Amino acid sequence: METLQIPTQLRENFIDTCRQLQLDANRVLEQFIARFVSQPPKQSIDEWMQNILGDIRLSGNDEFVDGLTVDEYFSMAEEQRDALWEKWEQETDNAVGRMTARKVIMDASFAG
Amino acid sequence: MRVLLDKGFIRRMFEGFARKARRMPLTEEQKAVARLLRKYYGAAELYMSYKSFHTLAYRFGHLEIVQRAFVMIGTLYPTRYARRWARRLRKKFGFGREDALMISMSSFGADKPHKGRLVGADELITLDKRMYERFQNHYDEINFIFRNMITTLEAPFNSVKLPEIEIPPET
Repeated sequence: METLQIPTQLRENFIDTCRQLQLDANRVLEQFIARFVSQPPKQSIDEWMQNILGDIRLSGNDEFVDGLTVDEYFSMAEEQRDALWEKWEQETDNAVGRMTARKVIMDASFAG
Repeated sequence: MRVLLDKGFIRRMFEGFARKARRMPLTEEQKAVARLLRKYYGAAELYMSYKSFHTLAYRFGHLEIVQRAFVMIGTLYPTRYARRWARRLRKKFGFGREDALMISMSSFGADKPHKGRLVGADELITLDKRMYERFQNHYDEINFIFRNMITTLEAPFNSVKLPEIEIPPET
């Protein structure tokens, strides 16, 4: 089993603080560790996104959309990308905008 | 719990993952969207509108990122009452066409275009502050009219409820 090393000064400060608070230092340490183990620090948002992506990678020259490469798309000004999305959304609206779900199953479950 | 993600959220989410896959830094807005997505990922059923699905599939369907998103996020389609409720939201409260449809699909959405389940959504997440504020400012009146409307409908449409609308804090 691995031996935990705690710097001497930190150890003494911890014991002193527990004594001042009239707490059992061993018990406090045990509680700290238990809490840490049950609620480990969250991943950063970067790590979480990387986990979702797994081994998916894009290179700058990959075809992205409408003849644009990945790097060409992301080098466009925000306003230019906005205009593209508005155009695509209008085309989507023309293609499927009036779609309405039919024959919804009656023994449905509901939000909440 | 079910959460419907609006088109602005879906776009920023997709662009954020694409930039991450290209090893580019995320914008603050993309980070805010990712943080909110993480909050619900695994804890809720996530949905996008059938229009967001169509745009992503038609324009970006060749990308693995999008194929993965379709596994993570289901699609909602408007039922006939979603159309009716959206019209009222537009006429009585001045919501835009798309905003009204998203709010109404949160109550009257089905998970398939044919013989789907009526699922609705507990929360609608948007990046549109105006829509969010309009909904909050008129909530009591919207809720009153909504309650009156659904009491006249047959089951299961008479048991639906209004969503809560959430906006990422940084936007």
